[in-house]
Amino acid sequence: MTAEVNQDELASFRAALAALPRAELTTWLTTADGEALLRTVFEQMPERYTGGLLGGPQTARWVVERPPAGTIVYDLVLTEDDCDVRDTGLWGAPTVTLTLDAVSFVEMASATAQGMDLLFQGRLHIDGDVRLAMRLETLFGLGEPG
Amino acid sequence: MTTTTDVVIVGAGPTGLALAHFLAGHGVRTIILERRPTPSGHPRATVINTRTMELLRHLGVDAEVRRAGVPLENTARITWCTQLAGTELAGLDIIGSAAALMERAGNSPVLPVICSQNRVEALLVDRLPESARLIRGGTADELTTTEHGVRVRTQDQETVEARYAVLAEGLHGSLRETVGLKRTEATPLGRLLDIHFSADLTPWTAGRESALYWVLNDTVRGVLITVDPKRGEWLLEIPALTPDEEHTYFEQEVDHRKLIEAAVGEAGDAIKDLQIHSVRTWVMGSTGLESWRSADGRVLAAGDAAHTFPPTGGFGMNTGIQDAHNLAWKLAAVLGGGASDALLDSYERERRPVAEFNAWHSEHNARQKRGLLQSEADPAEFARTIDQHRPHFDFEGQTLGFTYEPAPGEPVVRDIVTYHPTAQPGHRAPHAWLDRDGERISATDLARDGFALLTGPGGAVWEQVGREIAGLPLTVAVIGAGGSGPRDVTGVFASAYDLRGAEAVLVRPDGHVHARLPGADPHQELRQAAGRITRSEAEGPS
Repeated sequence: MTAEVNQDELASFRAALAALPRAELTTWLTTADGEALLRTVFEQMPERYTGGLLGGPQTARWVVERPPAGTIVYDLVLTEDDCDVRDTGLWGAPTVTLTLDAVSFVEMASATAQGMDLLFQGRLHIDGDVRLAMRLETLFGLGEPG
Repeated sequence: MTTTTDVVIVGAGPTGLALAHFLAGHGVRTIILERRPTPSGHPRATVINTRTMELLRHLGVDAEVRRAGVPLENTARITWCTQLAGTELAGLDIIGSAAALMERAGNSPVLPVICSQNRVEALLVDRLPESARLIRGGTADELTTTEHGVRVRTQDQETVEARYAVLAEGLHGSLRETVGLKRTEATPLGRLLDIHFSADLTPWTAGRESALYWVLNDTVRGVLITVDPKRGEWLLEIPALTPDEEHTYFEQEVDHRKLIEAAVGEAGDAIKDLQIHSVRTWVMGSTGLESWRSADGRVLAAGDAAHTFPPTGGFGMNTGIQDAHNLAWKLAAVLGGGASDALLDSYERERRPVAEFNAWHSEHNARQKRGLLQSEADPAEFARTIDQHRPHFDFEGQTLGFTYEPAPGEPVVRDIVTYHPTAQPGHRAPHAWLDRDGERISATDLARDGFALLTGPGGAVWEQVGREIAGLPLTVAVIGAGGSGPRDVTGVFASAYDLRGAEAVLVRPDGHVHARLPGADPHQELRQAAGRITRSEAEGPS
């Protein structure tokens, strides 16, 4: 697997994921290539943003854990039309924080798994505004199961 | 033509179909007789609560039910308004915070779902295993007991012989009376008008998607029930609260379209794609049976045939499916010769108090809602009092926390709203995520096909005991942080089960704790616990 995953090709990405055992993917995501993929996924999230969030800007903080390597944290600042990917802390306190392991993040970002399933499997933890948390997949066009 | 099977089930509603599935899981053959030649299109019940979703997960149909319905996270709100397009009076969030959602996620591997009864039935029919045969249009009109079981004859002269019959024939079935199961009936709480329709209501629901929209205005005082917002499918349910309303809704020609318009607050042309599918009227109240089992022991009643309640709380279909789950393993143990027929007496002993509690709570909800619907539509008053109505809509404690062994004088449910996990006898064994060879399973999965003996790291002595109780398989799982058994990855198992040393919990095939065993003498303790299941306290039919 390489870091050059085209996020528009969710189906092929899902197929690549399905072929890889979870333990292997966990290990790979702790490597430099794995980190590059995770950062690519974040950088491409604005392309998937469907918009429609009413009210002022709201920040969804993603905390992606991949021990023993370092945790990756990004803030997605969401408005009605735009999604800005920022380093954490530049836009005040987050509206909602989602904490999950790197494999679960990749699964969620590729619509291989749904956030609610990950949450109910104890793989995703949510703090803050539950309503925004529940809408996030829809806002990024990931509402349908993979 | 005469066909022979193990259990004949009368009625292919959710209770009868679920029973056929659960029995098939234990290797029991069934024939289901359903008088309707085609399935009903009316949604009827819409709520699949958490416990029922757990049972559907064990049948492997939970994902399909979720896809066919609406996950609670998209409708975790109850709204009160004068009309959909009118003034909002109040809103009640069922999952109002991340903490509440995380707490629910800790209680169960699944969330409740809104999925209409007709869709659940269709899924259960599609997935019927080979050992279950459904005969549609087979109106059972004669039920007699024989030396070794029952004989049911249908109107078109088909005969089914079986060891036992389960009547899941709904409220209006006629066979119960013929075997001496006498009906009881509480004073009805009123009549309901149900209008099943399609329309695009998103202009008035977007941003406040709710499971229920209660409407209070001069024309309509009732509730709009979400059936499928993606396809724009709804139920408008209007209770007749006064003699005047009884006259308005039931004793004269009623313009159902006008009622929908009054609930929405817009003229028909402004409501896109409005189409009425069906209208149903029914009496709201609780009914029951003096006994759930015939005197000769061969016939048992389940679901609406044994109990009905007002719809306020959504417990009808759920209680029926859970009846079936309680009964299935007992029938399997008795039919397989592993337990005496007396085990079947525990079905009513355990389920009746739960049904009666659900009836009591549903009636309480119905009276409370009647008061609210008759009140002035005053937003300030609603804001002040709305949280008093939370137990009607937020009942995880009732759903997961009921017990089959309440202390003397205690109710079967102690806290309707909040579920308090406990692995004491009588309670549903708590959920905890475990890692088994890289696979994430729930502790509740270990008793899916039979009994489970769950113990902690100090319980290795249990690995020596047998692997069967009452003819059903027994899974022994030593759960810890290491070793070959499932790992307690979150520590939730250790805290919820609270096992000391070699102590173990024996879980029944319906997921309820049968006994806590100290582990000092594993063989003897297990033999005694199993004996309470298998031994005959009163000889029944062979």
